[in-house]
Amino acid sequence: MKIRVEDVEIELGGRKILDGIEFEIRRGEFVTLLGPNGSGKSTILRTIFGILKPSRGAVYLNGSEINRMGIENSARVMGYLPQEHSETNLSVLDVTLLGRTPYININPGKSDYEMARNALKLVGMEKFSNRKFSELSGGERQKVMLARIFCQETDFMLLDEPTAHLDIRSQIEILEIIRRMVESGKAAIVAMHDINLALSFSDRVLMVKNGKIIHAGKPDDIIRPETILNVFGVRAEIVKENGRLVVVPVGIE
Amino acid sequence: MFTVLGIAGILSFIVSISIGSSGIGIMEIFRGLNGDYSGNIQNILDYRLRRAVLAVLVGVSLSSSGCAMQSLFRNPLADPYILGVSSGASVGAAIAILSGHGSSTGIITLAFISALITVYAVYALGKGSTYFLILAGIAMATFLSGVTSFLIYISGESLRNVLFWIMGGFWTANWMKVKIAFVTAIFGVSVIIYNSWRLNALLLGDEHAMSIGVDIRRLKRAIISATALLTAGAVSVSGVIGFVGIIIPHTARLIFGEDNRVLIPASMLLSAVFMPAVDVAARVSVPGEIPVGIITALLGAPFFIYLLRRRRYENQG
Repeated sequence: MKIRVEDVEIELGGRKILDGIEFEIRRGEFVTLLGPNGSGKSTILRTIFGILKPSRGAVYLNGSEINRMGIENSARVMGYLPQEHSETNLSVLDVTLLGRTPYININPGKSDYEMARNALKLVGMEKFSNRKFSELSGGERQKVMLARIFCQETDFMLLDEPTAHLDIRSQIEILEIIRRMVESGKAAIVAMHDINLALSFSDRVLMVKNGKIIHAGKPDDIIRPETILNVFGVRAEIVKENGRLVVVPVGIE
Repeated sequence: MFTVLGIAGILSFIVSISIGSSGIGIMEIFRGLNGDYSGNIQNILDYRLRRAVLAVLVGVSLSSSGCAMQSLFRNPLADPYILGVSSGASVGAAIAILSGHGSSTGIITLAFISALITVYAVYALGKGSTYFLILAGIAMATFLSGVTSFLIYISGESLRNVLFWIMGGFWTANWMKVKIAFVTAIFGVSVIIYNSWRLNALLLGDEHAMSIGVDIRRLKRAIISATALLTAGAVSVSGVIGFVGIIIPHTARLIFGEDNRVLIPASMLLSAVFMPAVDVAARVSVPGEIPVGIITALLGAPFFIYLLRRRRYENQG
């Protein structure tokens, strides 16, 4: 099982949003798209899922083009988590159940409910089942969203800034859940802009700037003061602590 | 809660066939039901019955469309008329009356067709974006109400007929109207109920709905076609009855929450309680009769303001 993105270009209103995007991801991999706001990370995720159609290039799942599968089929192989969501008074269980939609004809059945309850257990939110989704904190909501994606039973997860606006503890909790899901055999492509979090959780990092991937590889290989400066416009020192890279910003260019 | 609503619906139905301007009360009606053919009891029973049935059907059509529209547009102010159905139907009805085709059939046919054409035009104009769709609906409604006003202005003697039709009511109920409203209700409600889970998916936003495999364009088309059919059916047989499509779904939302699987049937039940009751009020509150549309507007607007204020307090609290 692998997804291959091949020379993808997205043009919107005469402007190139993505240009020559190319990479592969297999099950069991945690790949981070790292880059500043507006660099094109979200657009890459939306294109892989099939919401945006590339003006050049294509995205392949095991050799067949994803954009031709239709969104309902995409949802059976990829769990996509957009960055923003609207307020809703639906219960936590119902929101989780939404993940079963690709397999549901009219309404969710017994086995769907069971799966949703299990998914909530997995993210430690089973006690919140009957609470209103709108009453949860940001971190709790994101956990429910991950449970929703887990319900979707997909091999791939596309997560757009799953830790945005969260406190540091919630950020780590969320990333640990994702890491666990990856270790159980899923693949995750995660858009992020927090460099240090990305470094400690990812197998591979793709650094994105102005719609292009300009550095790609294992964190140890590509995180250097030059690449940080190049992508984020920030001067940084790189320290190694307990065998882990830590990026310390010291000023802006 | 559903049982309570069900019982209330049956009670409301019984009350509505037991009360009327003729003074024939519940005892006479029961005698009529048991085969007492004396006097004109049978006629009165038949009239009240078709009226009550029509009120229920129109209520169900408007409230289920209202629910679906509010979920589809994620906008609490969306109502069944938001895409111009009512103004389209009004123009059709006015043309029918003024051109001398003011029979029941003539009005229904023209109102129904022009309502559907209007929605189609709005849909074509606002294609692709919810925002443009709503603006196109407002623009179209404004334009068509201008046309209706013009037609009323030049109508001379038929003025009263056109105005009465627009205000909406069930006093001209006949079994043909019941059949039309029944057929459109069956089709429309089925489509809406079939899609109620997908409407839930929209509650988190368009992008979230797509992320779980909902083809938004197809869903939009299905819901808009269903509500167009429902409201065109309702309006062409009973005129423009305002606010039902807003107050009923919002009341149901306060009691049952946002889950469309529960909310849509609950709204339909609630309207089955509400509409026959309002129709009774229309019949007995003044000598003669006032159009139901006036009562729903008089009740609906204050209730709506109450809802808005309540929501504001909740947000502040």
